[in-house]
Amino acid sequence: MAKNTYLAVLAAVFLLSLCLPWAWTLGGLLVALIAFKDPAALRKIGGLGFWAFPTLFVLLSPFMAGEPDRAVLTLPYSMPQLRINMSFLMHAYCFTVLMSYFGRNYTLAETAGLGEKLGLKKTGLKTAIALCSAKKLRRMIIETARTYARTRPAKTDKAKDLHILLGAIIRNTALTAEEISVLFYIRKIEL
Amino acid sequence: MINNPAGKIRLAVYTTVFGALWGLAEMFIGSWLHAVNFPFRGALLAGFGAIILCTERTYTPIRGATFYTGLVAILLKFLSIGSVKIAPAAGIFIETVIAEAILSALGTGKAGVWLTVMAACLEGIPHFFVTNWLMYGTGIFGAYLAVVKGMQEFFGLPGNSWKFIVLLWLAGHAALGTVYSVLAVRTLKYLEHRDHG
Repeated sequence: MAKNTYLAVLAAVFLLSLCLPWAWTLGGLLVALIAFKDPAALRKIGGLGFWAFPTLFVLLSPFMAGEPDRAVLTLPYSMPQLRINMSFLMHAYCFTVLMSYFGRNYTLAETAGLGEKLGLKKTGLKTAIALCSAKKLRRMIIETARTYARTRPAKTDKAKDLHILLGAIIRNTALTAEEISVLFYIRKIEL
Repeated sequence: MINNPAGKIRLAVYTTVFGALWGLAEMFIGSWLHAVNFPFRGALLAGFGAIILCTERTYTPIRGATFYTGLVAILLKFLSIGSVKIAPAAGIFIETVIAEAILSALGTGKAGVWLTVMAACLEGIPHFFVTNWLMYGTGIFGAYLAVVKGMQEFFGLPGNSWKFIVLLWLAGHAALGTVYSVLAVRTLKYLEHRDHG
């Protein structure tokens, strides 16, 4: 099956899992489909920091919510609520795996190609402009911010004149855009 | 402006370069705010984004320009560090659509800018619901409410305490929106003064 069709099938299964009550079945199907095409995507699911909050919520909320049916650490605990919560964790896993699959299997050029297919003209060229100008803008922002900080040592001045810093950055960005526009116009490059 | 080749080039390049500026802000400030778990980080970033969108629109006052600027920022967001980027990308997209609608209707006057920035900062509220629904599925809000109810009972708080928390949450976003709106109007005034004397 073609790559884009496969992605469309995966997206459809995921969307169905949002609307239909069979979260485990559809989630399992999604994971199986991804495992068939790209098993490594199942492991690239973010760090501990990303999963800490959902895991704590899933494990601790049955102390507060749901009908308690047993005691854990001498406190009332709801196993039915834990089962419900596990489906949230499963859903989050499916979501991150789907994102990981997309990230691993689509290069920037392919994503730009998808954009062109969707009607966004010259996406590849615009992506190149964005990446090149981002490098230039990054240097400009650092330099502007340094000058701003050097000329305003007091914190109150820094806060008071924030619009000047923003204005300078935006003005420099506009100048960069103007330079590129002129260059493209002279070279007769159509966008 | 758009009817001549120079205008077309200018529109494409300005939207792309300003989108790159927003993308950079999202990449660096966003990643840092996320790493330190800063409160209201969505609204903080949205405010910067809205200022960039409003100022860009003054350079290319054409319908659709704001939308294209946002698309470039989304593209760059996908290149930033971190594993899951769909939530901030969805936030940028929603903010872009809101800004495009308001700036197309009201223009880049004081009212248009003020409303765009305020709406962008308040966007964090629907964004929270959309991303939680996408991430955890349909039942998550019921679980949140059940936990809040359980905590109210545990701490002996009145039944409607959650409303106070929601109100604080809304007030925080609105306060940031006000600060950013003032900043946006002052920045545009400064730019106008610099560019036109």
